[in-house]
This record gives sequence, C-alpha cells and structure tokens, in this order.
Amino acid sequence: MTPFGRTSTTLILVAAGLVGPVVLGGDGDYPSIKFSGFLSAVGGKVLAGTPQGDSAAFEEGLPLYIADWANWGIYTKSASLSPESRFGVQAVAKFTEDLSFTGQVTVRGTEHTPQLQWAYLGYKFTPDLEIQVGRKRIPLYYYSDFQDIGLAYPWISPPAELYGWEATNYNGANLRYKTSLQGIPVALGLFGGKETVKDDRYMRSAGQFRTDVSWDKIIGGDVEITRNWLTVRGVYMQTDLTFTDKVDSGNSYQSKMKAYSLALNADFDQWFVLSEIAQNARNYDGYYFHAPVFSVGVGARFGKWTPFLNYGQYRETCNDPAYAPINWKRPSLTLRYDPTPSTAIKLQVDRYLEYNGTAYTADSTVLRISFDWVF
Amino acid sequence: MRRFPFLRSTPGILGALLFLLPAAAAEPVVIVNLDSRVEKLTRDEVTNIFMGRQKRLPSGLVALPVEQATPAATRARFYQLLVKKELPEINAYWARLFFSGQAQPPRQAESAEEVLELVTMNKGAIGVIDGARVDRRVRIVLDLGK
Repeated sequence: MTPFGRTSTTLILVAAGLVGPVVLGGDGDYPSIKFSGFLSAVGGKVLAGTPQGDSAAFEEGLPLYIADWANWGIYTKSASLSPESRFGVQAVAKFTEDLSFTGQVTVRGTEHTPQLQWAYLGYKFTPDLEIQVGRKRIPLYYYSDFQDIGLAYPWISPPAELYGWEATNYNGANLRYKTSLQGIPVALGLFGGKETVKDDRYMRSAGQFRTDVSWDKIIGGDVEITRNWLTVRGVYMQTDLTFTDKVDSGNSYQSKMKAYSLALNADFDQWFVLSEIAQNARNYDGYYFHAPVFSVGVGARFGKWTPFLNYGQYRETCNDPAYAPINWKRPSLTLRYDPTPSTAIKLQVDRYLEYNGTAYTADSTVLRISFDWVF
Repeated sequence: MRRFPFLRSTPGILGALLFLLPAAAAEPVVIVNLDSRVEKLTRDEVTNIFMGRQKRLPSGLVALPVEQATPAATRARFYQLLVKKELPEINAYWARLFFSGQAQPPRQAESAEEVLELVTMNKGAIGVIDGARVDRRVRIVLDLGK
C-alpha cells in the first residue's frame, strides 16, 4: 500500500478503462497486485527573449526555452501544455514476500504513444539486499530515477543543467544494500546494463532528427548517507556511447563518458537547501568534452506554501574546433502550494541566460504553472 | 501530567476544566511486540525505521513499521512530533523512494485497534498509536509526548 490512498486509485483506473479487473491483495496475501501512479500537468510560455540565437537550428522559432532535453520539451512564445505534461501508472505485483515485479507505463505531451518506462523483477536476498533485473530508470543523479514525480521536489522540473541526457532508462540490473554505520543509515547501489534510443529526441538539440544513440557497458555505483538534517549522495557512472546518424553518417561517432555528482541536501525544518554539483566528461576522436555543472537552491516552508529560489549553471569546455560550446546560467523562483498531502500546485519563473559568447537558443524568461498528483 | 503537555501553558481554571475532559488527546507513542527483544528506542532509531532508511530493529528482527492512517490528524501529529514535518513533506519524501523502487512506505492501518493487532501478531512490528489506547499486549519503546 502506498500512503497516497488506495480506493481512489482503483476507481480511477477502472473508470478510465486502463486496467481490467483489479485485485487488491491484502498485505501478507500473495500473489497480490497494487496500482499507483502520478500526473503532472505543466503549462508554460516564453514571456520574453532576445533573438541572438542560432535560429537556423530550431524549427520551433526563437526565442525558445528547452525545459526537458531528453524528451525535447520546448516552450516558445505560444503557451503550451505539451512540453512537460505526463501521466504514469505503476503496478507492483508481489509473488512472495521477497519476489516482485514492477511495471510502469508513461504517456507524455511530447510522446503520445505510451512508453514502457519500467519492467523489472525484484528479489530480496535479505531484507537489506535487493537485486532488480529488467528495465529501469538510470539512477544517475539525485533526481534521475524519479524526475517524472513532480510531487517529490520543489521545482516544476529538476534543474535542466544536470538532468538533460540522451538516455534516461536502461536494461540491466542493480543491487541495493542498506546498512548502518554506528547508527548512521547508509545505502549503497551498484548498476550495470545498456540502452539504445532510436531517433533520440535529445539529438534535436544538435539539429539531428534521425540519430540513434547507444549507451553500452553502463557501470555505476552510488552511496547515500543520511544523518539528522543532512543527506549526502555521491554517484559515479561510465558508459560507451555510439551516435549513429542515419541521414548523415558524418555525424556518427563513438565516445567514452564518465559522469559523477555529489548532492548535498540540508533540512532545517522550516529552511532547506538542495544542491548538486556534477561533471560529465567525454572523450572522442582524440578530443575531450567537459561539462561541469551545478545547481543550488534554498526554500522555506510556511504551512502549505513553499517558496524556493534556485541558481543553476551549465558550462562546456571542448578542444574540438568544430564544436561550439554552450554556457548558460539560470536563476529561478518557484512558489509551491500543497492543497492536499498528495497534490501540489507550482508557479515558476526561470531566467535562462547564455554567457561566454554562447549564441544557442537566445536568452529567455519563462513562466510555468503545474499541477502534480500522486495516487 | 505528561499526557497533557498543552496544559502547561494553560493557567488557572481553564486548565483545571480541560483536565476533566476525556483522555482523547494523548500524544502518540511507539509500540513493539512483547517478544521483539526491544526495550527502548531513540527518536533517531524510530525515524530511520519509519523513513525507510533502516530495515531492522536493534535486536536484528526485520522491522515491520505500521502507522495509523485514519484519522489523518493522528498520522500528521506523529510525523510532526517525530521529524517536525507536515504530511505533504512526508508524502513527497515517500514519492521519491516508492517511485524509484528503493523502499516501501510503512504499512497503513485504519484504526488504533488494527495497529495493536498487527503489533501483537508480528514479532518485528513497530507501530504508532495514541498513548491512551495502549494496553498490555504491547510495549511502549518511545513516548513522543515527552
């Protein structure tokens, strides 16, 4: 059972005709199946922008703001609900106390065909050690594996500086171990696998519409420690990348990538700080590409209201003369309101500012409003 | 007086009158099974178990945390006293762990009696109920009203 309510889930799914007969097993009765899900309706538009960008690269027209790089969710001067809205249903089937299957299907405003996000078997060797095998989100940075769940964070979306990637899911396996060192909880994770994305939407950022991207030999590990008001998570991942442009093979190449981040979150009851610093380092054809990024924000809770001020910075350095690095800074202000414990309404203004001579999309000011629900 | 901490700031006759009201507003207490081999728990230990960071009781038994979901005010009071958080924050916290497949939230019972029954039936169970509802079937390991 989730803390988000059960009856409503069943009723909604049945009413929507999304599932057949629903069997809600009680805890301790196996097999059982339980449904839950999430909805984020996000609308927004570019309020103002400057036109110095590389207008030839974008069919959408400038100014624009790239909110979701992986799904190519873009806001323009016309208000739209498409770029970031999503709806997902998750089913957890338990066969025994230790063996379970989890499946998750998501529909997006940018991708109307339902996508299988997750499909994995979980087995607990002991209560502290679980293996999961199948398809899952890549547990890269702090928000990566729950970035669709708007209710879980204070912004409308996790900082684009850190959360824009060619691949967000993978087929493989992960191990998770929970222990405590002198009373301090520690969670350790290991993951490995591969992913291929056909006609990767991320590659539209490079003006490529028919490029397949493969992440092979994904290997990574993370550690998370929580003590009183402080949560620290570190992660390392490496993978072999292959870009295959089916239109212009001159754009095809291979690369090795290493990515690592450190997230520091501090919670002082009313005030809280969320921060993450990361590096994405790639090597290809004798060239290097580095993207050091960070995001830091501070929020305060006033009953049902949570204002949050954030600053994110994305920087690229690359010694390939054919590549024009992109650099931006992005202050943002979010106001979150929680009408119920399972819903949130957010209003956010972002100022996207390019620097260091970058002329990519153009500077922009973006207004977004969202409704998040978890059931 | 410990079950009526709000009286400490209520002087005179009003305080005396409130004292005569039924004992319905006691603070939550954390209870375990009599065979759990757990006598006391610290606030940190209870927090780690109910926030999904710790899977076992100090005695080594696998922990089965149980919270009272209805009325919502009971659950809200528990988390307010334990970690000074409102229910939306607790749900946001669990949304992360649940939808990333990392942990299952505490089992939810519909009444104090159901919590008592689950804790009585399961050696590793750890529950939270209103202090006034505790009986001899279980052991109090932390009084959040203190």
